[in-house]
Amino acid sequence: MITYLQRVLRSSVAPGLCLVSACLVDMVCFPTPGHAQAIELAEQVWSAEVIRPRGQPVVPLFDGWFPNDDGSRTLCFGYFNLNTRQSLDIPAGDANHLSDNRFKALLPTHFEPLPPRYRRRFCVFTIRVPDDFGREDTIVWSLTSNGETLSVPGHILPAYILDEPASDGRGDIAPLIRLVPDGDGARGRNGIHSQDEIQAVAGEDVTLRAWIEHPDSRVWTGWSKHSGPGNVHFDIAESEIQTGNEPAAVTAIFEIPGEYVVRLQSIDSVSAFEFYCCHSNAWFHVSVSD
Amino acid sequence: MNQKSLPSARRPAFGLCYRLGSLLPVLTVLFCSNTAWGQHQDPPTYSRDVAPILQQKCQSCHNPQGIGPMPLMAFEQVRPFAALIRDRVTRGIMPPWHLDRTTGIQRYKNDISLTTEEIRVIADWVDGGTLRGDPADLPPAVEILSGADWQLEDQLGPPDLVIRSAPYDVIANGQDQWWMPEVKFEGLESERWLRAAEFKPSYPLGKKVVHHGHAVLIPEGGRRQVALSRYGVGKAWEIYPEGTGMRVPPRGTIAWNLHYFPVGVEGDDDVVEVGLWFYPDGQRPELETVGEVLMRVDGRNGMARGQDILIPPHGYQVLQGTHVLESPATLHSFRPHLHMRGKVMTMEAIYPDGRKEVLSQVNKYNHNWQISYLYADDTKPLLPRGTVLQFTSVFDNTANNPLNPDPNQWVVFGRRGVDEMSHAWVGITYMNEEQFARAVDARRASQETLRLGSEQ
Repeated sequence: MITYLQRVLRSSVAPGLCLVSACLVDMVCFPTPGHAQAIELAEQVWSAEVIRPRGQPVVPLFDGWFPNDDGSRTLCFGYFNLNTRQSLDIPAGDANHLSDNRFKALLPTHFEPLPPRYRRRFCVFTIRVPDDFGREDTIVWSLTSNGETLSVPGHILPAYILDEPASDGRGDIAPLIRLVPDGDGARGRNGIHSQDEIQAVAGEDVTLRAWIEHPDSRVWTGWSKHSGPGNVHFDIAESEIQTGNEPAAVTAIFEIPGEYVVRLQSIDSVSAFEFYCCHSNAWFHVSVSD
Repeated sequence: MNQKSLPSARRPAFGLCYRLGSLLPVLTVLFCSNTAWGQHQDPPTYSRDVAPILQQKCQSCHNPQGIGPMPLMAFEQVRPFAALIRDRVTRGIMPPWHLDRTTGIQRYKNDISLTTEEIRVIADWVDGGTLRGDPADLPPAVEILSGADWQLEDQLGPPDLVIRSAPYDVIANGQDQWWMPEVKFEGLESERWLRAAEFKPSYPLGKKVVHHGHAVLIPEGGRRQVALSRYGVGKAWEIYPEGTGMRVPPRGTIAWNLHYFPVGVEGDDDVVEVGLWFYPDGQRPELETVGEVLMRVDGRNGMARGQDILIPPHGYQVLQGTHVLESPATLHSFRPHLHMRGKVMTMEAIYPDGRKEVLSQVNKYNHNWQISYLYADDTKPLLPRGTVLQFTSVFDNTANNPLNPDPNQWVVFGRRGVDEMSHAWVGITYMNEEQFARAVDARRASQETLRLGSEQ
């Protein structure tokens, strides 16, 4: 395989680039003894083995951006936990931060294992930037986990534009989510936040509800801990529900007191995530007492 | 065919590629010595030396109605772009043919690449001052098909049946769009055998915005899928070999899957057509093909498709996928599908005896093209049962990749061009052992004919 990579890359790059590429490949593939552990993660040749039960880092991802009606733009970030069993909590701060704090963002601090069916977590938080946020402007999200610090830039790059909240070609639209019956709702990744803090008691059930509308009779819903000091247990974290009058509901148990955020995502079908349209976010702010 | 007899049957069947390879230098010398340029020692001219090359290899796209950005039909049109043309052809960027010339099968039905000699003629013509030459030396003009014409009509006549997608209003700007209507399939009175199919986006709009697409027939009450036509920029049609066809039921639903890529122009009611040519009613070809099938080149052990695609910023990734042939087969075509970071895809055969051989390798992959490499009839791989097809994809997320929109990003699986995919569309026809033995014998006979011919 290594010989193969060297060969094909050497034969495929422009002559002037051959030496550079060959050296890079040599460096990546043939580390000298004693330096093998010094290979930077970003310089590795990746393979399926990077996905393991535990011990791997969380990769921050930039999904793209979309324009808003008021002229602002929204940057969307997701993540790829390379662990199939290990969830990670990375508090906001040195290990979990943005390069630019001028803009409001609800950073996730809890990172769930790699989901088996849809590859990764899509657009778990957004940053709304003004219309004068230029092509050269960048907000970098950095995460340190399991000994690796990985970063990703978000910026207004035309190739990374996202459909929001509807996809013209597929005729799809993000579900409308309300957090109170007959209240204001929101479609799409900018999402909706619970207006009043939800009160809960550590170790006791609390039910979180959302009223979801969509042209389809069924939609997918997924509940996740977004941030907070302790574990959160959901009775059914992912399910397909009937749209209509009955709200989507989950029973959550918060292990210890503190301030939590629970994230709800909904999309017509979980397989539609890979089209990058159209899902909706909702965040529940929960205060858990002893 | 028993295991013992496999190697002896296989070697001549596949070894033809190598025999042809050994003849190619001879043929090339013969060819070159008979070209106009080879007969003249004076500098090449447009009329005598360059125009014939452009006619054969360039004008099908570079005509006033073609998808090429400028027509190259006349000296006055060509000369202003002489330096650019020299650059593109000497770097192997144009004509679009992304196969590695140094390994694997080199004879394809749709090869539009330039020979070394043709490249040298063009380079020398530019270096020599872009001489016009004597207009009397110009070759007769060739008829250029309009984008609205069926390309196969010259060979096969008008299609026997044309199916059409539901209309779609094309957006000018934004994210990739996927238009997936279902349309009732009608027009056949009974089961027929498909001989050829051509996928035709509308002209001129569709030619610009339809990146790739599929027209798959879901038979009434049936579970199997009949892939009538699959399209990509650079792959519009498929003619199955004589004696090979696809079984098409008379009724069902066409599941269209059309990937539109906004390019700044919009239009209403865009419709894609697929022309179908059948064997005569009542005629059943010996071999039933499944057409192009998707062979994954990513993690397969229970993973979601492409879950292991994760290309680091400024880095590379290599993925492999293997597919075991449960029965003998012949391959008609090879069409890698990667996205913007895709650079290389290799298809190798690992034979039951352990030998391993490169069949085809694309090492200049370009996402703007979806070329299907159609094996020549005498170089189509004939593969015994138990052969493993091994695919290797290489992704380049560095700044060296000119198509890379942002080397600072982590790249994962997705449908958009900025995300990645890793699979190959392989045109394949499975056979039983008797059919395979006959195909091997026929190949052996053609080899013998070729060998004898070359000795005379």
